[in-house]
This record gives sequence, C-alpha cells and structure tokens, in this order.
Amino acid sequence: MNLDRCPRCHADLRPTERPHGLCPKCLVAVAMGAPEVLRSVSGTPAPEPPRPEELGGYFPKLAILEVLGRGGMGIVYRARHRELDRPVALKLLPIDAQNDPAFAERFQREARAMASLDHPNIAAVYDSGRAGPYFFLVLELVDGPNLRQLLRSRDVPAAQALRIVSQISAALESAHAQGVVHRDIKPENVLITPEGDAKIVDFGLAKLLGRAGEEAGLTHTRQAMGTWHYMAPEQVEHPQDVDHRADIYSLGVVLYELLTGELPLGRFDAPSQRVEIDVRLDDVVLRALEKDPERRYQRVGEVRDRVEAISRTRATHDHGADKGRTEKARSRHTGSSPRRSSSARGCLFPLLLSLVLTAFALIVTRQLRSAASATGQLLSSAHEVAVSTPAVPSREPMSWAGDWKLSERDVGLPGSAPDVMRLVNRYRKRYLQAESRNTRVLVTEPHRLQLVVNMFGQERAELRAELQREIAHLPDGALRLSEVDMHAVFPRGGNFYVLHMDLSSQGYVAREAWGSPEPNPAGRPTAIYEGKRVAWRDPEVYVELPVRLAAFERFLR
Amino acid sequence: MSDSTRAAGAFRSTRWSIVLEAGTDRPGARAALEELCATYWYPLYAFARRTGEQRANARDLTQGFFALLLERGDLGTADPDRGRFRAFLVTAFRNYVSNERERARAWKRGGRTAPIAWDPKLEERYESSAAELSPERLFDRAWALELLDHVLAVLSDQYAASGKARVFESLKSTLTTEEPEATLTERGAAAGLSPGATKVAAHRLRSRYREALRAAIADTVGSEEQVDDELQALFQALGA
Repeated sequence: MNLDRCPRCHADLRPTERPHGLCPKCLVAVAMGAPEVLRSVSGTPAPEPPRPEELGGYFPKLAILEVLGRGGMGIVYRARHRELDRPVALKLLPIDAQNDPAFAERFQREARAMASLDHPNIAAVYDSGRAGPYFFLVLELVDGPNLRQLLRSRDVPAAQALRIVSQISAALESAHAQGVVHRDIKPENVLITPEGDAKIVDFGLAKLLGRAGEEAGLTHTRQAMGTWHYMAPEQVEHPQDVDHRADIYSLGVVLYELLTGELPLGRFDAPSQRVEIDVRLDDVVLRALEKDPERRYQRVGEVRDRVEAISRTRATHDHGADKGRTEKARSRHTGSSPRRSSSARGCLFPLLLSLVLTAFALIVTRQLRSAASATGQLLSSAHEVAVSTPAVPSREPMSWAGDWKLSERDVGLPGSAPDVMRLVNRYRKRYLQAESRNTRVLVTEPHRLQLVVNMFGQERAELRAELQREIAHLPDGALRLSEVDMHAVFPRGGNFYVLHMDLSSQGYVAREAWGSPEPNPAGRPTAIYEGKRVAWRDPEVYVELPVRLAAFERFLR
Repeated sequence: MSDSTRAAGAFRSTRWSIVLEAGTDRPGARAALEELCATYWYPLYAFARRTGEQRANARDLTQGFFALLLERGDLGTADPDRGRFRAFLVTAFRNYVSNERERARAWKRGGRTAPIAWDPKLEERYESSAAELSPERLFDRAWALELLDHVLAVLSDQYAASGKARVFESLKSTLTTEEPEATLTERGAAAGLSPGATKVAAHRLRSRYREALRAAIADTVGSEEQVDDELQALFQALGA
C-alpha cells in the first residue's frame, strides 16, 4: 500500500485514516495542552524538534525513524542501530553544546556513570557523546508507555503497583551501590515494557541538566514539568547536599500515587485511609516520605524488602505471575489422583457455602473490576485476578448493581467451569436467602442475575465473623479462616483450585491458582503454585479440601 | 481555552454524563446516546472483525449490540465517576459478544430495523486497516479517527452554514501544518482573503477546531476534567 507521510510528525498516513486529508495524530496534538513541551524562560514553546532526516548526517550509525517524545530532558527518537541491527532510542539533550563548553566535561562524566549501570530494570545506555550541536545518548528502546501514561489509561492494581515499586527499588539499589543517584524518580521516568516490567530512564540527567539549566537560565524548566512534587524536601532546599535518600523519598511519592491515585501533598492521609489496601503499606509509604532523611529508610533495599514481604503475604500462595506458567503447572499434575476423606460429607454444607460465597466474591470482584477497569480483563487470567483492588474509600458504602450471566469467564475456571457454575447457579438462591447482609440477588431471567451489594466496614466485619462461625467446626485440614483471609480450595480432577479472599483490608479480593496437593516430608500439606512448591507456614491459613467434585454432586442431588 | 472558560466548563453536562445520570428513560438522554452510538459504530465493527468475526457476523453483532443498548439502555456496568464512553463501549461489547450471541440472532430473526445504516465501505476500510493492531488498539485507533472525522465534519458544516465553506477548505491544512507565510497567503487568496485576514482566519479556525474537538471528547467522558487525559489516550492510540 502506498502511504503518505505527514510532513509534521512523519507518521505514515493511510488513505482511509486521514480525516479531511489531514494527519490524525497532529490533529489531536494541536488540541493537547502539551504540558511537557520544553519551554524556555519566556514561556514560548521550544522550536520544533529536528526532523529525523535532518539528523542523519550527525549519526551515521543510526537510521533515525521518528520522534518518540519530548520533554524537559530532551527529545527522543526511535532509531535503528545499523551495525547492531537493533532498535534503539536516541536522546538529544536540550543543551546547545556550542554555547556550553564546561558542560561537555560533566556530560562525559555523567554519561560514563549512566553507561556503567547494568540492571534489568534500568534502560541501558549504549553510547553517548557529542555530534554537531547535540549532546546525545543512545539508549535501550523500551517499547511501552511510561508509568504516567499507564496510570492515565487504567487503574494499576495493587499487586502490579507493588511489583513495579519493587523493581524500581531493585534498580535504584543497584545504582546507589555504584554511587549513582537518580534525582528525578517520577512516573514519567519509569517505562513499562510489554511484559509489564519497569525500566528506569534518565539516571542522573536531572543533576546534569539541573546545573546546566541553571547556568543557561532554564531553572523554571523542571518546575514547569511538575517534577518537584516528587522531590525530597532537602532536594528543594539544598540541592547540592542530596544523596541517595532523595530517591527513596521520590519512590515513596510514586508508591503513594500508585496506591491512591493522588500525590501526598500537605497533610496527606495514610494510603489505607484513602483506599482499601494492606495497612502495612502505610508504614512503608510514611517512612519513605519522612521529611528528615535521617528518619527515612536508609537504604532503598529496605523498601524493597518490605514491599516484597507484603506482596508475598498478601497471598501466601500467590498465584502471581502469568497464566501460562499456572497452566503448565496444572497440566504437569493432572496425573496425580485426588485424595479422599471420610470426613468429606461432614464438611459438605460449609463447603458448599464457601463455594457459593466464593463464587459470590468472584462476582463482586468481577463487577469491581468491570467498574474499575475499562479494559474488562477476565477473571480466567490468574495474573489479573491477583490484583483487583477497588479504589473505594473505606467509610463509603460499596455498591454495585448490574446484570450478569455466570459464565466460565466469571468463575475463572478455564475449561472446567461448567460443573462449578452449575452448582453455583443452582444454589445461589439458597445462599442468598441465608444471607443476612444487605445483599440482594434478583434472578431476572434464567441464568441472569442482578446483584446489589451495599456493604460497610462494619458489615464486612460481620461477614468475617459469620464465616468464622460457619467453618469453626470443620475438621482440621478442611478449610480454615484466618483473622484476615479465607482460602477455599476446590478439587478439580487431580488438581485443586484455590481461592483466596482477603476480607479485612481489601474488601473482596479473590485470587486463584492451580496446584496439586502433595504431602511434603514433614507431613505438612504443600501445594504447587506456578511450578513452585509452597508450604503453608501459618496453620491458620492452611486449606485443603480432600473432596472430589463428584461427592459434591451427590450431596447436592 | 482559557482557564476561566475551562473552569466554567467543568460543570457542563456532557452527552455521556447525561446518559449516565438519566439512564435512557429521558428522551434527551436517549437522543444523546443514539448520537454517540452512530458516531462510534465503525470502531466496534473493526473490533469485532479483528477478534475474528466474519463480515456478516461482525455486522450483526455490532447492530445487535447497539439495538440492545438503545432499547434497554443497558448501562449497568458504567461507573459515572470514572466512566468514559469509549471504555464502556468496548467492555460492554466484549461482554455482549461472548455472552449474547443468541441475542444477535434474535435481532436478525425479529426483522427489526437496523439501528444504524450499514455502509459496505466500512468493510473496505477495515480491510485497509493496519493488520498488526490488536482488537483493542484497532478499536481505539478507529475511535480516534471517527472522532476527528466527526469534529471536522461538524466544523465544515458550520463554516458552510455561514457561507465560508471556501475558507474552511483552503485553510484546514493549516490545522496540522505550520506553513510558510507565502503558502498561507496563497491559500487565503484562494478563499478571497487578504494576507492579514488569512492569518486571523487561520488562527480562528484553529481555536474553533480545538474547542470543537474538546467538546466532542467531553461528550464521551464523565466530566470536563477528563478531557486532557482522553486527548492523551487518543494521541497514544494514533501513535506508532
């Protein structure tokens, strides 16, 4: 197909994608506030960035393709390295090299430090130097949005937020060990790869450009970009005395924003007062945000340890990563036979209750997600299920209404859902009649139900108590409820299906994983999650239901 | 747009917010929803095609979905605080396609009038769309293009209505391109404008276009405050 190119942004233009013959990208761009366009002191927009074809002469090794973005730290182009035959990003710094001889030396020093950083969560610096009027960096090309764009496009679930923060911490830890401080950690400087991993960019550029900017009279540039919301107090007051603990403060701001969607400005609330999250995260955030660097975490590794510990215990047996691995783990264990128990019958009703409760929680979770996330992720993806956290203030009633038809997707049991669904669909009414809280399910037509939930903190506590009563008499090893969590396991063939409901801080969060029960040498039940063997250390959260679904069916008939 | 107008606009009801608040019982809300649906028909069709539906099927699913939406005002999953029509539409459609195929068939069987006229050119358009885009990205991209097309069409009509069709035609390219003064003067001359008047007209066109685009976007989001985010999202959708 013959494609025209936009003379302004160089995008390829398809004939069917040119509203009134114009470039759609530029049509949107002209209406944007363009807050990140580099502005000079006078406030006038910077001149248009050099076009790719104008730069070719300076960078013979690169085929420069298009402008990827521009901001206070320069202009970034997508390029291909001809010799390495790989895509790269070319960054031109917003410094006129000819007018600033002293800068060259500092640039060389900083660029060398940047290039020495070798970490999977730091975008690599392949090359740096000066070409004609430009100071440039050739960087690893990260094909993905930055964290700011990600935050704008959808809710970042708590589990993913923690993972991102943990990766940023790891990257900073590695950089700090080499004496490199980032000085400008903010969502714009964290890129997210298609795999969902974080890559930090612009290490040390703030320092380099900050000083160059001051000398060039560009001191307002950074403030215009709003970076200072992420700056540690000492960074604003004594920019020359900043050490690695400034990064820890900025990381705290990012974490706060990821969790609450807001910036910790003025007298701010602890995150758990804004949204329903694990209260232990409050400590992490508040300590990272201490005004006095002495009272902060002293090493970013401490932040990482805390965040990872919380992530781990959010779901002892967290499903976690990706569905592919889960599926693999599952298929590996389909051969093992399910365990039976003579006490099976005795626990059937509570089990049924838990099953239906679980399905109920799944419905709620699903609804939460469809309200919270525009993209409509499916529960059948373990990765997504892990992480739905409603951004609902705890003092407000949670309320959802809508129509559902329970489908395989709803209960998140790929390929094996019909049995479970049949049970749920048959017994939901009974469950709901027994339900004491302000919850209604209206069966509007066969296989469709309308669910209305109004739940307050007090009611959630009641639900927990109710659940605890219901299952208090269960035989050991059947199903247990800890203070905060409920785990339910459904045996399916040779595997079991696990749900984790965190009833205290998260509202309802259902998590799922597949595994296979295997006794370990100590006789303690273990499970395989995602191919990893996990033992429940805390007997309170141990669950196993040695019942086959067929036994269920018999009981239900 | 100046800060003061933006602040005032923050309280303006947008089409989508009217629909969300009133449901589809009120006639005005229904008309708003109908108009929104008509504008964004193609993106959903493209989405359905890209998820593997055959032409006829994609068409029936899209029509069936809109028929159901307009008939029942099935907005149960929309969240008025955060909802964007774009996000709502694709999520609701996805659910519809996976759960409600029989409804599409029922729509056909029932012999009802199609809610939106079918244009065979849309399939041609789909055929020429970038093959590497996922259904979601294709949807977003098509959405952005429909929106721009709609805005420019409205603007063009407005200019035509005030007898300035030639001004719009001659100067519309200045919306996206900074042109040398000589070229601009030439364009103005074609519309019978003096060089000075051309500059003013180009400036005015640009402001009116910006306003119209922002207003159209505002119609698809819950509040004016989300317009900038949505602009950003559309820009992303059209990127690379």
